[in-house]
Amino acid sequence: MYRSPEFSRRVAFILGFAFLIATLFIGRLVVIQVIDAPRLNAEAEDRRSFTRVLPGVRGSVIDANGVVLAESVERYDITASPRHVGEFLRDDVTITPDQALAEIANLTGARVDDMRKAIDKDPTSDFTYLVKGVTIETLREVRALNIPWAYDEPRPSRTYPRGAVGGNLVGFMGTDGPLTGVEYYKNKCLAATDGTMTYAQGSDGIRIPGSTYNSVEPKNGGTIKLTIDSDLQWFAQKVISARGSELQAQWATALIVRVSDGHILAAADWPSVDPNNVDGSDVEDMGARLFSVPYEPGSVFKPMTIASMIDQGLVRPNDKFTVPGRFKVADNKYISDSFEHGTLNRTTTGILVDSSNIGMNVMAKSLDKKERYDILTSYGIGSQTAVKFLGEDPGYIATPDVVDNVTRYTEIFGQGVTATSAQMASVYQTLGNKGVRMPLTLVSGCVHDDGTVTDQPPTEGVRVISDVAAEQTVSMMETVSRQGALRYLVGIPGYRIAIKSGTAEVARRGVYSSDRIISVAGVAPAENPKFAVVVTYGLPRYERTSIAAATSFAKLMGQALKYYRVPPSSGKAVDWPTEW
Amino acid sequence: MSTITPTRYPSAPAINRPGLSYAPAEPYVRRVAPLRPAPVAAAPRPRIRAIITLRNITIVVVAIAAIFVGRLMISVATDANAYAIAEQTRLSQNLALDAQFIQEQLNVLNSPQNLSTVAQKMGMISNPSPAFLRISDGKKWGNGQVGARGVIDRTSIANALVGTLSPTANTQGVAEPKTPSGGAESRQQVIVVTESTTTAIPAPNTH
Repeated sequence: MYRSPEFSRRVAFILGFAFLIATLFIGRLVVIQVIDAPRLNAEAEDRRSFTRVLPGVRGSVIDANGVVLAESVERYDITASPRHVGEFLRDDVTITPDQALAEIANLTGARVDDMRKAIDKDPTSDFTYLVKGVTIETLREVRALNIPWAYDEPRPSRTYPRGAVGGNLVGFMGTDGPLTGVEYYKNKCLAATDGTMTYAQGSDGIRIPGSTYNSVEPKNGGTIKLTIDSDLQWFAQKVISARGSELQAQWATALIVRVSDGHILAAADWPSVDPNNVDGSDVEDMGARLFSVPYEPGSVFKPMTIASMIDQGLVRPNDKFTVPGRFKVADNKYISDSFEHGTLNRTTTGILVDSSNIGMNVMAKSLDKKERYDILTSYGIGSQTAVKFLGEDPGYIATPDVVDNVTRYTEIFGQGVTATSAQMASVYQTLGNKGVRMPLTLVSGCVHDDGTVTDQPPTEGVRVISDVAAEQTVSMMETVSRQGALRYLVGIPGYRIAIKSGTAEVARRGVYSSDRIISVAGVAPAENPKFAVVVTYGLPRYERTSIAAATSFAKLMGQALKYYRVPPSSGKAVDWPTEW
Repeated sequence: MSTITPTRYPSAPAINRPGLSYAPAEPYVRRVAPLRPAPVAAAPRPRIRAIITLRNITIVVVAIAAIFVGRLMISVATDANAYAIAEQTRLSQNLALDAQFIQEQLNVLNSPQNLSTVAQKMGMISNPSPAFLRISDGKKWGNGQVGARGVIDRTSIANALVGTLSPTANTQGVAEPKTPSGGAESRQQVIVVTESTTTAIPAPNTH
């Protein structure tokens, strides 16, 4: 076949062109597949991938029996797009915005007016809150309304299933984190760390299986375990709440402590705070007074002073003393008793039963100011307890170098010195535990997800006085409960109890006023103490003597003995002579 | 090297025409360039020839097609499972939320505030004077008074969750106690509980 040269040129041109095109394509392919491949892959991943935050869950707070006192839950905010708010059709029925808001209000308990205001505040806006913090159950009902301009979003929340039971201890969370109580005090344990997961998803938002690029596991917070028993705590709060209201006191506290290990079984404050409804309480009622409010405790100090004097061999329970009608401490300054009397012949036990301030100083005459200071500080007066609770006050005791000539005599019976209810509970725990002061404990540990336990409290006790001195003092306190002014009010059928009461004057601008802080503290069963109880009422309007606190003590101690199945007492009490 | 012998055709019969004399024609020989010797194809080895058969080729083609189809099906199944997994994940999350909410409600129902309220509505009252009996010798401690002389305990410890998380469960089926009227008899009968309604827990009159 003949092919003209023209034809051959055309063929060559076409082939050359095709080759050129092919070369361009191949070149582009190389650029895409080789040179730009990493960048393009990254871009593609960016477009397809989605990073989801995996929220870590804040740890719970539980009581000694595992009852949840604080936990993290899911709540939801119902939101709206104000600029889209309008009528809509539902089942061929026109629903107006007000009808829709009324439906939401009916389900959530919110007010229509409030929601209306939120929408009207900026009608051009694309976002506003209608209702905050509804439950999943309510949310589903709201979703079922099919309101096209209503949306929802999750809101991690914190609830407190037992409300104000332990509310002053547990504390609560604010918008930006913990605000007070254990929530704040143990935040390091409770706090969680969020994780992330990055994966590819389709255009419809569905995750493509097996496409997880990277994943950082969230770290849940630990669980704080308290030593309190929430049922006993509830009972204690009820008792002081009822009695505090009757007395029209300004505040009240009660502690129940297990003497063998110093664990706080109940730490009640009144008024208390419900962490679920913080707005319902005054600011001054949101903390734990029993740790943060020191006061002059008065005569409940006397057993520890006497116990130390017994320990030092200065007195014995039946030693005889002559108690004058007044005791001079400085020029024109005298110590007196709560009742007027002439010279009395009293034993050591009798001085305790009469709660004689003069008698205390007659017995302690040989103690210099440093020895008095050492006695009180050896029980922890002037120092925070081992709990070191948020805002815990160490109280005040004047050091020997600054103590004045009056205070050096008054501090041994609880005046001129301050202590918290927690410190007083620690003192009676020491007496009940045969002279060994155990670290007062509120938090028994932080349990992490992997089972490890941190934040464990110290467990080593310190011997403050001999066991004999402690037992004799408790025995003398039992005489107080049998022969003292409160004997008809503090009895617990079947149990021997040992108590001391205190009626402390409250100083106002350096002068003692008519206000009182009344308290009763003690241990039971007297022959082998299991619990120490301290109940205190601050500034009662009526019945301003410690007698008013006696029934509360009996109820709290009785409940503790019954609740923990302590067998009734055996043996007979030693009736120490009180007079001679 | 082989040669091709020119083909000789039989000469045409002579035409006897006067005046014309033609020499006998030369036999026509087609001139062609000598051909290069054709390559002698190597005879296929017997083993390869055995493999490359129609049957084997068919198997390979079918296998490749099967792989493609299988891959396609896996891809389709994976895509379908993505939705199934998403749905199951959603269900799982919903169930977890339900479980959490139910646990929340249980915790609140279990709270002492709720229990004491319900107990009082059922006619139960706290006995402030318990008595103890020692099993070993039968000795009794305490006055053992019946707790009916107490009054309804109105002291409450706040819990905003009661009534919000369990709006009906804490009171449903339990009747409100009536305040006793005056008179000696009524002083002993401190709490009177009315007959319950519908699904109410039977609430006896308490003496």
